[in-house]
Amino acid sequence: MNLVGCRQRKPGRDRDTVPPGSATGKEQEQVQAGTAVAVRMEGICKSFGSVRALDSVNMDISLGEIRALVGENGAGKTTLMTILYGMYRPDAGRMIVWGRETGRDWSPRQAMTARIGMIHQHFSLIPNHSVLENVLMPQLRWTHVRPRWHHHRAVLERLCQEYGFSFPLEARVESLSVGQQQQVEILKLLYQGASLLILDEPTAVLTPQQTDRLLDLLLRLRDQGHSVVLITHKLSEAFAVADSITVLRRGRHVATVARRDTNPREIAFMMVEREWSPASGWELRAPEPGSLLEVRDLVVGEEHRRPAVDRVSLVVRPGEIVGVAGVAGNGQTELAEALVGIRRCRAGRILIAGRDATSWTIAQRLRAGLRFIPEDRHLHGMVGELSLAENLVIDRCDLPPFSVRGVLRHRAVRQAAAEAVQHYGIRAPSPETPMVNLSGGNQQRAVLARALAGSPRVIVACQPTRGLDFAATEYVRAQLVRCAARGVGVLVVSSELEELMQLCHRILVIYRGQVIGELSRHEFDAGTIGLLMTGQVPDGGRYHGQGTRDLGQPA
Amino acid sequence: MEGQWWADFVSAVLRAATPLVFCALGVLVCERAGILNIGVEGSMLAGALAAVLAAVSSGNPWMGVVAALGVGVAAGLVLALLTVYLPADQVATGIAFNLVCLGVTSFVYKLLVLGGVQLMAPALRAAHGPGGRVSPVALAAAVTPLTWIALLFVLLTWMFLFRTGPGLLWRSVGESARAAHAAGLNVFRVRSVALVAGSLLSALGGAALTLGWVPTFTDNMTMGRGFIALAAVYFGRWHPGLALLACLLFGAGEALAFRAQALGAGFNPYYYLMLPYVLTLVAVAAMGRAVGPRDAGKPYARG
Repeated sequence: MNLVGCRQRKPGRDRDTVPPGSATGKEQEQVQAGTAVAVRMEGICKSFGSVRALDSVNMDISLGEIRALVGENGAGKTTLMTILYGMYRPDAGRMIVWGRETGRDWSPRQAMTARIGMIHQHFSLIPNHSVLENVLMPQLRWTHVRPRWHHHRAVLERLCQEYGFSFPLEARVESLSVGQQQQVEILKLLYQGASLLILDEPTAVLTPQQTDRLLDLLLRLRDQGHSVVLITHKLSEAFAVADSITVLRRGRHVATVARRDTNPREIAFMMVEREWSPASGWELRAPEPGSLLEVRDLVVGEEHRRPAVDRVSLVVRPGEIVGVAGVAGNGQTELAEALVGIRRCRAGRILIAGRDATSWTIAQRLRAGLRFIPEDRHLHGMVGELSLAENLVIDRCDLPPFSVRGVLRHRAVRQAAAEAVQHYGIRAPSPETPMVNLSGGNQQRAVLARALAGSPRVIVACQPTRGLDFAATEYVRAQLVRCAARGVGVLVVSSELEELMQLCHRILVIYRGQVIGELSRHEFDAGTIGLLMTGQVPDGGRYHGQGTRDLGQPA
Repeated sequence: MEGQWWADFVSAVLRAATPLVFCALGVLVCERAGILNIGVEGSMLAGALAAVLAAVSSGNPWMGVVAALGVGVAAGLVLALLTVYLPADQVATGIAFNLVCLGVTSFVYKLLVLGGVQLMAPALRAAHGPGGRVSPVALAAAVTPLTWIALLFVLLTWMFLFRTGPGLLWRSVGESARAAHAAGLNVFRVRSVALVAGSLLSALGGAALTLGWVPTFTDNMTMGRGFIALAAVYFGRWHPGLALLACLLFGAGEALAFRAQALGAGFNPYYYLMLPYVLTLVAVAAMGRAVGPRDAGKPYARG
């Protein structure tokens, strides 16, 4: 049934005038959902250097279905879809799109012409350009010297209204929230007339409310005849909307099953090849009195600008895990970086174990027992070209036993690395392997191993499980809880509410640089926190759950 | 006499600014496509020499302009090969390219003027000298056609970049090569075209320097004007119109330097010659941080 194939447009011609949203044309309504194959991928292989990312993967995507593509990190989900979208070339295998085999020169432009659209995990929007410019750009050709801006604007406004998007088309993308930026991406695909939408981990940056709205939108698109591929590692999302689920494991296709014939447990088992029980929250020990990390009226940010962190005060006690929740970009990163000394404070004080550390260097804070798990491990957490062993000791390589009189002792470094590799289960060919060649999960284990080495007293962990699959996620979380049980204070900054609710004694909600809410464990509620994250305070002022007021002051 | 002074001064400003305007546009179109065109100085110098040689040998200044265009295209292709396709670091390549151009132009010129006689090129002439009054009509007649071409190019560049579809694509490549590639653009091709266009404009700046002003060639005669053009783009926030204003400002510095020197106010003349460079430095420092196209200077490699 190649109804759609017949309507393929010729590249480079008259794209400007094709009405948007044509994927919802009447022909498709006649196609029974879930029967016509939109895309068939056969025997796809892809290697990066010596790493086999995909090994003879087969996949069919039907018209009008939502397909969840799940698997651990490094399972090849994104690679597979990037190949379908033409950004990577497969080493072997063939693809049939709308009944036609793709050629060697399959490219994103051809994919788009064939009405396949992809939203990458890191948006491919141009922050400096307006919504209108961003949406139009992929469709413009070099011959469209004078695009009909008014016509496009009118059509787009109608589309925005139809799907309930509320941003002005002239707004610079930079000025929109992350959720809105994602809507711009979706608008872009719809306007291209995409009928197969690929979304790569779309909810990683969204609040629970935004996530719900996105999933609703996906269902609506499916009902209009679009096909959707949802790359995710959150099984709850997959089960909420998907019609069928494809599982990849280490580059191989494990199974494709209809949602109604399976359950999360079974899928999870397929993903990791071992039994997995959903974590039900740990027994958290009650924190001890005192304070390991205290922040008083901290202000961070450039002079003459609205501060990124605005008079934040908080206390972390021994053995306590405090969470900082917030939509990305509300100052939580700046707060964490100021705590560890990467950023300067404009005002306020930081106390580590009761001593004023405001003007301390990063090294001094390290020596006092403050450890950092950075949000962006590639940027702040590791030196990619250095070996795993070197990365494991890089923060104390100038101290004995790793250096004696200024000379590095390789044997000591190797020994420490071997211990860490074993203790933290880091999978690497050898300690000499360059850090960049490890998978994300193993990189994060190494970062964690370094942070927990020696005797940490306070750990500041930013997005500690971002981009990790659930085995690695559970591991990292368990380690943090274990640390707290030993009396270490932990501050977790995370955009994953579920994570904070599982880990923390207390959650602070940060909005536009200010702590606008504080809840203790028995009051945790995704709805309340989600509202607070968008700046809506139930009683108008700073939100306190019951019985938490006393925790705001140091003991 | 007052009016005469002003008329002379304004036409001198325009004359000094013309090479800067061409070069600034050359830098601007490249940066808008994500290429830091440090090689502007070298392209300018090569264009200046080519213009002199072709004009002398043919006796027609317009042949000099054509030769400069040819050299500009060649320079653009070399730079595109190095910085887009290899891709080598854009700053290091640009600096090396400038040094090569400095050496090669001096060498070639010495080879051709063995007798030690300065080559005097037939220059492009203004209709007549500046009249006694500052008026658009008088000015139009008092500058060379290249000045008017430069001003026209400013307008065309602005219209192209900000009013047309291809201009949007062009800017997209400069803002986010990844997004542009994801949208199906050939980043390499766009950037190569940008470099060819940019080098062509820079070489035209060189031709404006020799044919429209000093009708001969000397070693390193551009004296950092390419870099001043880079500063003008920065100062003009990557906008053609503002960059034009910046070029006029720096051109005024240059024109003033000569005039102040002639007045002889008792300073060492070298202080006056420093004026345009000091002005550039002060202007850029006073400007503070400006954010240009985000992907300018970043080589793009397909995954």
